[in-house]
Amino acid sequence: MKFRRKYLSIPYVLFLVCFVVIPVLFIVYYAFTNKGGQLSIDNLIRFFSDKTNVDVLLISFAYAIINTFICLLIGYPLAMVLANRKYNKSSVLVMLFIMPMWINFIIRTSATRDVLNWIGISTGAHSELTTIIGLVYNYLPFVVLPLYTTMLKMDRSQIEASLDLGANPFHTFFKTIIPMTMPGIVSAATMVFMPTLSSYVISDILSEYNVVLFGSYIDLYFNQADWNFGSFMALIMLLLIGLSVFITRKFSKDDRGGRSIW
Amino acid sequence: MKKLLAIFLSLILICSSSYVVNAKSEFSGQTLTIYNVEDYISNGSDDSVDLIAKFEELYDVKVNYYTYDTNETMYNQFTLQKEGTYDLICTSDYMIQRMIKEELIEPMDDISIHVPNYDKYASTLMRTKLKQMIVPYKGEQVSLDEFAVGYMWGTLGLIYDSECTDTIKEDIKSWDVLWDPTYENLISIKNSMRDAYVPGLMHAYSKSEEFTKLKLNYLNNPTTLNQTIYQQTIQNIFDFKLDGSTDSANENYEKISTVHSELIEMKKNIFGFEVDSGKNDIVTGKIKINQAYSGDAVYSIEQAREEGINLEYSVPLDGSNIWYDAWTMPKGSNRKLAYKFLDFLSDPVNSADNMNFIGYTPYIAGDDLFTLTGAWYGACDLIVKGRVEYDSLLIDGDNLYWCFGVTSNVDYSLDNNYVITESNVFDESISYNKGDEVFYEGYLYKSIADKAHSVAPINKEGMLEKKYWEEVETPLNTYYLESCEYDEEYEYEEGEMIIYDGVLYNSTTTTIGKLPTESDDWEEVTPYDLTYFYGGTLTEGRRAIIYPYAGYENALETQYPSEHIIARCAIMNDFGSYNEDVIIMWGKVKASANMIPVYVFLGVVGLGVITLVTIHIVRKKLSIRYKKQIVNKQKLRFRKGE
Repeated sequence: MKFRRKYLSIPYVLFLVCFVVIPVLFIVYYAFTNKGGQLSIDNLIRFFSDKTNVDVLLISFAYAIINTFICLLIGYPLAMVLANRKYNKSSVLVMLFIMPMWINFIIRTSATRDVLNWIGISTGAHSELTTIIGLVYNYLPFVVLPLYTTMLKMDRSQIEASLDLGANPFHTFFKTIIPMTMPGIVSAATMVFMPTLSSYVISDILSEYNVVLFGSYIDLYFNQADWNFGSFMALIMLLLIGLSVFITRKFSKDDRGGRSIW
Repeated sequence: MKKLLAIFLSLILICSSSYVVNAKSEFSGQTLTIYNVEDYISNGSDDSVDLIAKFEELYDVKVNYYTYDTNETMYNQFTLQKEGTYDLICTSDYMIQRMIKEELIEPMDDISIHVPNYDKYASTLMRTKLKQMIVPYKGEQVSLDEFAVGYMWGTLGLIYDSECTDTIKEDIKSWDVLWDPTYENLISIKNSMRDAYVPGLMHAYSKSEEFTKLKLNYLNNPTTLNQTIYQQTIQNIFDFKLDGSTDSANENYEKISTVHSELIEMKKNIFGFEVDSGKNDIVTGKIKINQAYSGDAVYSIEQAREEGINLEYSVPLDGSNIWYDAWTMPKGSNRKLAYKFLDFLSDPVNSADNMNFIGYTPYIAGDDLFTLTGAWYGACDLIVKGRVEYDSLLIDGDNLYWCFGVTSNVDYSLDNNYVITESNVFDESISYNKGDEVFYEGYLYKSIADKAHSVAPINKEGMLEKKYWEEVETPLNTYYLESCEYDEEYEYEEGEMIIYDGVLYNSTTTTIGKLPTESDDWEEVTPYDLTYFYGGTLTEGRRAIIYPYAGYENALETQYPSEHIIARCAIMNDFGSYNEDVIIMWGKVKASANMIPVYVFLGVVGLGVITLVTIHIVRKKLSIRYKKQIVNKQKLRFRKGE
């Protein structure tokens, strides 16, 4: 019986090998070879010897942090409202927030560009602002969904108990609700932070290519047929994302003992 | 040759004859794989001619047509495929140079035998440009003309809203406008390394005194010599010195770093970079100036005209880039069929269809293309074989006529044709009997009513008056001519042309009874000479001169830059071993941003995180200690036996 179950995983393993393992190996291979195909650490030296490369990475980090923060700031209260049966009787509101995701995000972003220019926020003059608006708009559903599901599962009696025992709403929120929704917050944050770090289409379209995030920078080198340097930077991004996953897992286990989906 | 072309033409028209059978026996069932830029061939949409399907039918072959977006994408894709995947690749000048150098493509055989149409109709001037690009191949110096068959060409310039400021027409004459704070956030340039490189380079190097002197010589005294000197100067600025010496290497690096600092300054001033949105953004008014290829500019100008916006295109006087795209044959291609395809594309009939659809300017000259150009932009000598556009101007010797023609095959000489004169055009003051034929709005009608009447063939709703008239097929070789002599009683509409005292005038507004020499309502038409391009390819007796309609002068100049404009445009060779340095420079330009807020922000976030973590740890420890204290106290109490 057990032997048979193993067979079920074969398609997935094959898929994993073809589209995850082999490409990653390719990236590693290209990252540590030069144009002639010889083993070298030129790319490593080249990357860290030029300030621009590191700067682009820092810019991406800054955007990822800001985006995550704003998304949580908007998404958390929103999820609370949605999870409350008093305001959201038939889940119609949830649908309204999920619906934009049904439209392809490139089309959505191009439309956002026109809307922003139309209301007077020039994508050329305020590239940083419009990029953040675009990022928040696109990633908000990713925050609302995990938070909404954790909040639905939240133990309401604990909140009542907290209020009964004399805690004011402020304390109740910080001491009871936030800890209870921590797994949701962590998975929401990772779901926004990681893709933002590697995203570039949104910033390209909404900043008129003025804001260059790390993904865009890698693309520039790939487009100019510099596979090696591009791969090296892709590898760096892979490591950074791996690192952020590692940290969040550690963090979420420490605090709650529960596990996020990441 | 002419006979062959005639066969070719009739074949397309009537689709019969033994030629098809012959073609079938030779290529039947073969496939041709083509790799071309997106939207770069007439494909059958919007009532255009589907050239690929036409070729497939003609030779009974299958064409696999693939497209790409940038030359670099093409290069990446092409080099990953195994040899013989593609039979024909269309790409830009510098990329062809690179591919020759890397021995990825092979030389063409004798063009005059294999691609006779190209040999006959390609513009000599543009083939010279191909010949001027030299590249080492297997230890020899070869020219691109031996490896490529030209397709489209054009210039790199600026398209602008001619009414956005009072001084725009002056400002646009130099690349400096990209750095001008007056146009802050109103300019977008191409998100392309090589295209951005041009303004950066010219802005830096055109400041020198020597350059200014040569420029003034070229502008004020445009002799062939001065033009050549100026072009050579620009070419020298464009080129990297490749003799391998330390001096030239230093000079090259200096060039790159100069462009670097220029472009970083420029980035702060412009609206942004664009891939394909610039065309529409300038029409919608998001931006006022856009760096553009002449072919795209043609499209934008037309698009804007429909919206009532006046766009113009200009190639800055400092100098710019003249570029071309051409067809090449990679190793292992189906050469015989590929030649047939190139010959098919170089047929002026097909080339005209292509130009009509894409808007870019083909390498091919010839009657069909000239007629098309005339139909778009102004009056010219009437076509020989092919379509006559309604409303064109016929220049017959010294006489000028308006041709309210019917599209058909027309002979150049007037004698053989069914000429409609003013007498057989419908006139409501005349009553018509059964069987009378009249022309009405370019079409021929025959009266079928028994009684004499004077009802117009087409009523106000645009419907045929079936009781009175029936439409008759217009005989071939028909046109209605009207003299262009000035008539003081006639009310001229905007854009109508007249001849007065031997000079051609264009009305700029609706006007009546005003002498062209005395009124601002008339504008003298400046003839635009295209002999440099069309010379030798037109039917004998036909002059390659276009008299542009009012408001179309700039569009015509965009489609076919004058010799004077071409003189200030240099070819941009492949950067060779310096390409990598230019990529790095471009990456730095793109990534340049004000880093201080980023550092501050990340610093604050970092500090915040560290503080929070510390507080967390300290509090945890404190609470452990506190708990222990409580436990200890309780233990103490317990021991005391309370």
